[in-house]
Amino acid sequence: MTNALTAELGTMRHSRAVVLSAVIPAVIAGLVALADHQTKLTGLLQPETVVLSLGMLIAGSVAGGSEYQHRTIEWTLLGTPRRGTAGAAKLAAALLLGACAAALTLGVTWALATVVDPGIGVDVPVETLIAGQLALGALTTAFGLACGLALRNLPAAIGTVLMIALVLPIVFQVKESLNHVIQYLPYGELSAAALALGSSPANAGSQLPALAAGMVLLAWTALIATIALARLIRTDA
Amino acid sequence: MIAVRGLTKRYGHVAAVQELSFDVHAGTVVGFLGRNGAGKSTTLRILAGLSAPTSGTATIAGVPYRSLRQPMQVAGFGLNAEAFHPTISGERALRALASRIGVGRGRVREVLELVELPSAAGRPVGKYSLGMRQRLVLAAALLGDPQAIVLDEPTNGLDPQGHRWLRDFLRARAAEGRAVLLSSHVLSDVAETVDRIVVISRGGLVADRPIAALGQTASVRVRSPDADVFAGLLAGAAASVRRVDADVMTVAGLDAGAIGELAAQHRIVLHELTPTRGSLEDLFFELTHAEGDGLR
Repeated sequence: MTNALTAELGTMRHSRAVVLSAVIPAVIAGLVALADHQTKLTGLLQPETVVLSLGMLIAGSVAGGSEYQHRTIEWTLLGTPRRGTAGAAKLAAALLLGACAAALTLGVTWALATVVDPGIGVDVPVETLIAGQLALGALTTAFGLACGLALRNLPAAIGTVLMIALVLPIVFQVKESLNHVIQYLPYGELSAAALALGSSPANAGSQLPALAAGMVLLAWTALIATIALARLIRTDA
Repeated sequence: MIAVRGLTKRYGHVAAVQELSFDVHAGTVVGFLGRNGAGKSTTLRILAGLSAPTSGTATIAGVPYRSLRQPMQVAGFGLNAEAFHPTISGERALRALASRIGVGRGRVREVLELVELPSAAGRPVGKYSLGMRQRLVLAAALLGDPQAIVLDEPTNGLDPQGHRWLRDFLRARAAEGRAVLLSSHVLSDVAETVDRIVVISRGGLVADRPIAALGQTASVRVRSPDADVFAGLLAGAAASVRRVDADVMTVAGLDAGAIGELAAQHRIVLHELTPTRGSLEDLFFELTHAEGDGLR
């Protein structure tokens, strides 16, 4: 398991998608911090959180789907033929790298915000803010990876996560009677914000608290990860 | 070292491999032959644990590949020259695999030199020729210094020097006591490399014999302007006839004297009657004849 995890971390951290997904939100966060003189850190983090989670969803799905696109899954399974171990190592690597990307983004935003305005406030408990950001980065990356592994098709995996992140919430928002369902979707701007920022944006209306939003995302990630692992273990590579 | 027993793989109603059994012993090179679609790659993928058999077993050192504790240290597989990310370098691909199986970076340089690829190691795999990717596949298969080496069509894309190099390389590995299983449709390479051949047709075993026994298989090359008529007469005399050209055929099952007498009895003109030693190509076509003329 240790060798498999080390190999997955080494492969994923060299993936352009993963690197871009960590760097782009950090750059956006930095630019927003410099341009937008917010009085609260959570105000700065709102756009960054959306870009981060969307980026990590895509990066995860690229990491999972490209294994089948380029048939590198064959080397993965020749090196780690116990498929449960291979799949678990991939998910663990995605969780770790997603958390690291989120930590990087949060760190850059916080540092620049402090430089611009040394007196900037944090309107939620710091531990809630950090835990929420790391959980969002980790779970969205793992969710994307699991989609890629389950679908075994790179374009389909990217299309699916984009649909889940962007299209599905809009569909549920348009139909007013279904508005309350949005917060229970696997990913949405509002639930992501709730998880990562520990509070609702001012115009969000009713929304789950941070812990509940985290549980919703965790449940969806566990579900898709179970499907991905079952397919990896039970079917031919 | 490698044992396949009663292996069957079905895809719905189609049997890709049927009741296949053969062995590959340490210190030998075995050629695994069959036409396209005969079931060679399916068999090798089952051996590698990438596909599950419908029934039967395929084991290496007595256990299925998936159950080996250090699999690539026991068996090295080279199955697919396309299975690399095109934007990463050959060396990085090998390092990732080395990290996965707990092998140091020094071994990566060693295998790159072994397959004569060190100068291209830093280039993206997408810029490799097919021959270079074949060498990279072989390097990956050798990373764990395995006791068994299994290669699927490793000569595809190799230039003539590459063919000779691979032949010598595999013979040297067998001489070290390793078991080598080599699937190929380049019969000349196989004939000069292997100790035994395993031939499959439509997923089933049709021959498993030492390559040395091939030289004892006699056939006779016959050329006649009445080849069509004579082929029918020969077939009626229980000979096996393979048409080579409009007026040329290879006949097995009767010696040159018996063929000449048959021709004389029926006043058939012969322009050539040449006894030949059996070749792998003759045997291959004879054994896989039942699959028909078209490629599957």
